[in-house]
Amino acid sequence: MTALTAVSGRRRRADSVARGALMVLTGVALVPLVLVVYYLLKRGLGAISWDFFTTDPTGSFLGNPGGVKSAILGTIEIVALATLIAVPTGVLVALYLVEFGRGKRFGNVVRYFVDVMTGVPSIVFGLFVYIVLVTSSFVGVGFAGWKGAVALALLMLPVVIRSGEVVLLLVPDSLREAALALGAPRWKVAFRVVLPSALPGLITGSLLAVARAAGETAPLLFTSAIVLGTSFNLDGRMNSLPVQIFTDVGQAQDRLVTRAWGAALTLVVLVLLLTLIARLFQRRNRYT
Amino acid sequence: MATARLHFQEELRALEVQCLGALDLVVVTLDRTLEALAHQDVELASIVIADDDRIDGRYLEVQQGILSLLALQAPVASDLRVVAALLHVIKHAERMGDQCVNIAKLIPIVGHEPPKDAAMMEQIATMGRLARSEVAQSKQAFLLRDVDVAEDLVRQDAQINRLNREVFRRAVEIGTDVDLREWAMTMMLVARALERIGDNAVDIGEQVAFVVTGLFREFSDASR
Amino acid sequence: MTDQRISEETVAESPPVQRLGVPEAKPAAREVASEARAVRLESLNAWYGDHHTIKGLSLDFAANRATALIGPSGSGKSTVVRCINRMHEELPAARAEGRVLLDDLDLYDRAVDVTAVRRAIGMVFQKPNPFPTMSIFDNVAAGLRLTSRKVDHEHVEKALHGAGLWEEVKDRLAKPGIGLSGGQQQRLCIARALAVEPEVILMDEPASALDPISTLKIEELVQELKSRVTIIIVTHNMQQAARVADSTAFLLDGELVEVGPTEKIFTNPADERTERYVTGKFG
Repeated sequence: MTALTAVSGRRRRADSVARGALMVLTGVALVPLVLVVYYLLKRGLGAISWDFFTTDPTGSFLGNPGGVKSAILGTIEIVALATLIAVPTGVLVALYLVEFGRGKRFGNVVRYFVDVMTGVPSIVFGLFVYIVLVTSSFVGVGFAGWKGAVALALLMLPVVIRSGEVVLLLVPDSLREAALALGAPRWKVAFRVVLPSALPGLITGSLLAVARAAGETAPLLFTSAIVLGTSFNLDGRMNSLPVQIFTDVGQAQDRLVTRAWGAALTLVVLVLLLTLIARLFQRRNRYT
Repeated sequence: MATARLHFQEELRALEVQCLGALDLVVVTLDRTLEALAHQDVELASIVIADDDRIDGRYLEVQQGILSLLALQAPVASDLRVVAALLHVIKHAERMGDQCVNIAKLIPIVGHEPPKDAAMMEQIATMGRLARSEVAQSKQAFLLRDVDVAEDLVRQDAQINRLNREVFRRAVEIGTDVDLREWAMTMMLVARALERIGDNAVDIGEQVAFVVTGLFREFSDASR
Repeated sequence: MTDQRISEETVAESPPVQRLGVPEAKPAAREVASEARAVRLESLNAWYGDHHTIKGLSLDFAANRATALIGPSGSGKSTVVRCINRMHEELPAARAEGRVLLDDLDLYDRAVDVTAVRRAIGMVFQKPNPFPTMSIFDNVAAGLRLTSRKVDHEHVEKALHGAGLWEEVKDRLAKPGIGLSGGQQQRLCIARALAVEPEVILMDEPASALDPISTLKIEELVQELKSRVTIIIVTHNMQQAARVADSTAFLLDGELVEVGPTEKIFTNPADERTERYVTGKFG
């Protein structure tokens, strides 16, 4: 009969050493995160006030610098438009790749290009839109909010497609077979059976793509530029939080720099909120 | 090809051995019965009667074994036909045992006197030999799954049937003496019992054909 | 052998000793037999990549009967069934040739629309697969919606009755389909298949993932349904084939070895290989 021996002292020590090492390394990795949060709060809280959220930046260097209302609204408008462009397109491409393009040459080509796009730096998208839409007379020269949205959409697209593909592949083939065996044409199988089943995952993926896009600076620098007043006209120049931060940080005025930190804090909170909503959504749907 | 269901196959073989063993018991019993008959041995006759319990016991064992196999193993196709046939075979063996008992019971009635009619005794002795041979052959036929051997039983059975009819005629013509008539009619009953044993053996032969061909048919025989 | 008097009743109920051809199915008390149709396979060949899985198979399935396909793993039973409703070709690198006739119509004819084939020939899978985002009602109606047909409550109710599920779910039609037990889910899938009113239903080991009671319920269902549809059932369980099917076909390595009335296959099969398979000597 096998004797059940107690854990030897040597093994216990090795276990403690390993555990301790892991904890130390985790702590080391957390340090920058903690520092970022600390600085954000320390420098940014000072800027937060009612005026901060309700007044536009005045652009004056000496007097009241104003708040960041136009930046907040601008971010929301531009990101919303970008989402409207990127998410449906991305989901449709993902649907194509999974339902029709599996194993096909064209599908593989598309997937390859999507992978390439994932790695493209955001500034390149900004430059691309700058050249094609802002400086050329193709659609009218000038900066515009919607052009910034296009740049962000290009950034979001590969993320939506990639995560969408993963989620769609998770839908079991047995459901597709069941629908096909009932006599449904393939496109109906895709839209009426696969898509609804994958919807929670697709939404989560899209929310995460949105959260990412909300924080991008470079594309907006070249496309929607900076403007002081709140604008609801997407066809004109529009302010946004990343651009506002970028502009303010370089100023000599302390109050402007503080405002930049406040704007950064606002942006982080916005992104955090989006991520939390995505998580809550995911968790709720796990139980269905 | 790997053989599955070894346990089941072994159980089926064992059941068959048990069942066919009953036919061996019948042969032994029949031998004893015929000897008791030839020598008017009343004690041997009572042993035969008592020993019939063994055959009856074997019948119950085999029946239980069949029920168990059907319930637990769900035999199909040829296995199923074998199981069904074994049920018939053990029943026929039990009947054959009972016929021997019937003969044994008649021996005391015949009494201790020497046989009254030598010719009739000779016929009955021949019937006895034929019956014994049929029982042994029926067992062989089943063991070997040989339909030709089974069908050959009909030939022997035809002889028994013929002798039976002759014994009957002789009994009818035996004369007016009351003792003689009584003796002759008793012997006729013995002959009838032997003829029944032969019929049961033929029935076993029919089961052999059923196992092999999957079809049940009665062997054509001379008039009974 | 002693004669036994056979009473009139016994003669009417028990089948004759030697049956030829396909035995009669009991007429259904409630339904009039609808136009279920016969299926015939002529020289069917199927490949999966380079693997020749079905080799020149010809087989008839009688209308309004249940036919079982038995055989060891890899014998091609599931492939045959998937060729009948043309699901086999949905797999990558799979193809099929030959003729599959639904009465006189060749389903592999170029002019035939594949979705129409699948509307006429329903399928129930090994693992129950109700649509997870749909309610019980919507699941049953799914077949009608996916094929652009009108959905009315009566249709759904009739299908649920046909699957023997109505009593159990009539008060919770709006609840999600995946909330049911395994056996109920499979009956839901049967109701879903019935709702489009097919002429043939294919069942690929429908009870192998279910508990014994659910299995028996499904088998009862097959008995009731065959008066309305032709049923072809693939099964690993020979006892199930014996209980449920009027005819049984034995497949080995993609070829048909023997087909006949179920009773004959299980009491006196003609082919030695069938004999060895059903008695469990291989497989």
